Amino acid sequence: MIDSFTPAFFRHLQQLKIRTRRAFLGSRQGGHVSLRRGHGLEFADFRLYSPGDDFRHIDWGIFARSERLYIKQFREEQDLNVIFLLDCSASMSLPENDHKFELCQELSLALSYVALSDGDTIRIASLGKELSPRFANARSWKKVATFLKEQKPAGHINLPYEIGLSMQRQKTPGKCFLISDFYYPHEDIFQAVRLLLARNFEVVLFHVLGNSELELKLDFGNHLIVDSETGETVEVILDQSSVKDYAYALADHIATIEKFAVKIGVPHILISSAEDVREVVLKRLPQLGLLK
Amino acid sequence: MSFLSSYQLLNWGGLWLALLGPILILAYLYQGRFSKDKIASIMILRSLPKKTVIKQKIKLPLRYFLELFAILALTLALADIVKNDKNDTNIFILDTSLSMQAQTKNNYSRFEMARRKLEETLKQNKFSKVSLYLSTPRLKRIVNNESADVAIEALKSIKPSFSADQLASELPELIKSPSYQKIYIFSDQKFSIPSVDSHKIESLLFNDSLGNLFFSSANLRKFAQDKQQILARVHYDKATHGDISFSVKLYSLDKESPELLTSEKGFLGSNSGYTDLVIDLDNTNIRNTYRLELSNPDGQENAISVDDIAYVNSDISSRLNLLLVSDEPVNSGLEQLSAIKLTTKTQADIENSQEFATHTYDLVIFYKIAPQTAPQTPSLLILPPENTIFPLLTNNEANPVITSWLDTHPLTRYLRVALLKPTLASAFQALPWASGVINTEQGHILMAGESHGHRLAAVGFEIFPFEGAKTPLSTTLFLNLLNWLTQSDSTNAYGLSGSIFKPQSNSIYTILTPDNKVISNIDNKESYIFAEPGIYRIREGNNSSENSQAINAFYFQESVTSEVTTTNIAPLGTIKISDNSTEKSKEFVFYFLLAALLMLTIETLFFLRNLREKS
Repeated sequence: MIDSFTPAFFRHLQQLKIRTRRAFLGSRQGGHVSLRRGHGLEFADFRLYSPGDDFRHIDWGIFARSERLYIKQFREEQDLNVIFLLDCSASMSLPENDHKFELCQELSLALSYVALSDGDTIRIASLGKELSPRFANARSWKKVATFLKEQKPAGHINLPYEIGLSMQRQKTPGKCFLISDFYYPHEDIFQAVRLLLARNFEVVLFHVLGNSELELKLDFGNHLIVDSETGETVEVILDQSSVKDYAYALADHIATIEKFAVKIGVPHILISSAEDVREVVLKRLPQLGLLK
Repeated sequence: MSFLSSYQLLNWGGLWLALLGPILILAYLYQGRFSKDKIASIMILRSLPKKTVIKQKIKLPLRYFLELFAILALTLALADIVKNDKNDTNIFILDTSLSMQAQTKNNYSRFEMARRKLEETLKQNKFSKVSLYLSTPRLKRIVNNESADVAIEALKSIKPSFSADQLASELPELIKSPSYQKIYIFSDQKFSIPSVDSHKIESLLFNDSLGNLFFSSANLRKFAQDKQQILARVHYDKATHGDISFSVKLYSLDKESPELLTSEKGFLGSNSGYTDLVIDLDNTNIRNTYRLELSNPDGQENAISVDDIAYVNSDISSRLNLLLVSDEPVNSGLEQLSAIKLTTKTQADIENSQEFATHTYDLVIFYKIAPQTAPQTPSLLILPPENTIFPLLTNNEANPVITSWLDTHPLTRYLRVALLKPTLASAFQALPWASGVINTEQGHILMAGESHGHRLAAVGFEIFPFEGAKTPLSTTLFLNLLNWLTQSDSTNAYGLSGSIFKPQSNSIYTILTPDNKVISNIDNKESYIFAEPGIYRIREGNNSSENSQAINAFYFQESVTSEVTTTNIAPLGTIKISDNSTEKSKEFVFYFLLAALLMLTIETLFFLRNLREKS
């Protein structure tokens, strides 16, 4: 996992910043314009002077024109609360040769480093497993890496339930990266995303699929397929036409999620396990406006 | 016969080996059942259109069946399947008749050549089932549905006989039998085969034109106690440029060693074909049993030796058994002839008595009556018919004037036209079975002919009573008639027909040699076939009723060795015998291999197509 994180990559990551479409309340001073009025660079509003206000904020120009005292208000710059919801169900570990979960770990780590470098607060929820503590400075990056490394995909999870569980302990809204292969019923996915939106999070969906899942790479013939999470089996007789049917079915599944994401204004990014995390973080995400 | 039981597999090893094929295919096809593939989620696979799954399920078993069919076809091909019908027996008929004893110019007899060729044929062609028949005296099967090796072994002990065969009449019966594939005949004769079955019969002809000197008959006449006469007919069957001389030695066999009695010389005209030899025996050299030996001092071709010897005997049993059928008392005068045993019956006796067997008589004479039906007798004499219902005879009695006379006919031998002046005679119209010997303006007054091996004659004038030397003309004519009529070799009173002795009653018969050695005991009317010509004694029952019989190789058609036609018969060595069962087997194997290769080609195309699409 660490192999991709070269000093050059770190330098590039330090120059990036997580972009949000709206302002969030932060818990401490940071790099993102907050909803809170206070000291800052970005002008927010005027209000009538009240006794006790700082004279330095009186707009003397308005007073000269209207002989009334107005105070200038500014948006305070605070940190951004970033949460990574990482799917740790058993399906993330397959296909083994595609290293799907490793890519998710690297992606989480890279974005965590971007956030921490920018003074944001991050938290990682390993769905179905555990919730990490808050990490608030760049020095805690190694702890993040350690936490991520300890996560092993296993078992079957109920996505809406696990997300709801994680959100109970996450009171401050912010940016939410949901990283999964989304092998869940559409309704579960939709419910989970709506739940995040209801908690006032700005959601980004990372749809990570193995390369051999996008293009089914099984030998033709008779197969008894076992589900990695439920253990259910299905007998499939693979040939050329059935492979095509699989490709259509998978495309349909992805398109349904995409359509839903577009409808509710949530970015949906499909990532193949064959892609390099550096390419994704340094090129694709900035192009999509998720990083700047 | 069911479909399955009509086939047999020649190579069971190939079958078992090839049966492993389907097992391998099954293992290949169902390997997916034994190895499970674990994937992230079956959600997508489960959502595949169901119609596709059904389609796939149809498609793969189809491939499976194609592969299975190919394996099955290869299996059957390896197993070398052949049709196992019951018609796979090849019948071989070896002619063992007298003519096959003819010595060819390469010092082998026709029989030996045929036997060798047959043996060679059996060795070269792997016939699965073989039946072997010998032709004489009746068609006899000696190997029945055995392997070729058994037939080869059986061939070693076979020798040609001295008798004639009945192949011409027996072959059509054998052809009718459905239980054979093909008949191969190794013979020196040509047979008329129905064209419908000609494809199932192949003949190998072993003949070349050979000259043969032979006896066709030998008889002993007794005129009195002190006078006997031996009449023998000598033939040479090949036309020559000049006369052929021959010599005949007469031996007596009464004693332990043959005793030479006399030696005669004779000549055969270049075109006459035969001559009759008469040897008079007086008081000094009269014996009971005689042997005549024919030789050719000039060294002419003489293909068969066994017919150069003739046996005659003067045993009491050799008296001519003669039946005279007449409705009125007749003074035939025949009683005075010691060589004749005369029985007189009326026509009613013959017709009413079912047990009365006319065939036990050497000659049946109908006197002044005509038979209603042709009697079962070897020879028949009708004389003179008068006011009868015999439809082909006229009752035109007149003083005949002889207009023509067959000089060469045996009946006119020793007769002179001038001497024959019958006062009254009935003239016959042409009869289908006879030709005129002595003719008048009104028609024939002496007719003779042969029908189905029997000799018949009709005389239109009175020749009885027989008065011996007093009436030399009638005597000569009658004796000519007697000789000619009784020379038919069909049968005689003792059930002898050629070389076969078939008893006429249920008594036990014993066959003995002249020196009292028992050869065979015969009961239940079984037949006995004499192994070689000679004088034999036949004892009937426990009493000492005993007859002496001369068994001779008198078969004119078998002794003539120079007149065989070769039309439409394959000569020796050019015929190629092929085993149809092997051809069938090869045909099966070829088509099964073709089918298997076709299937495997289709399968390969499937595989290549899938591989291309997959890549």
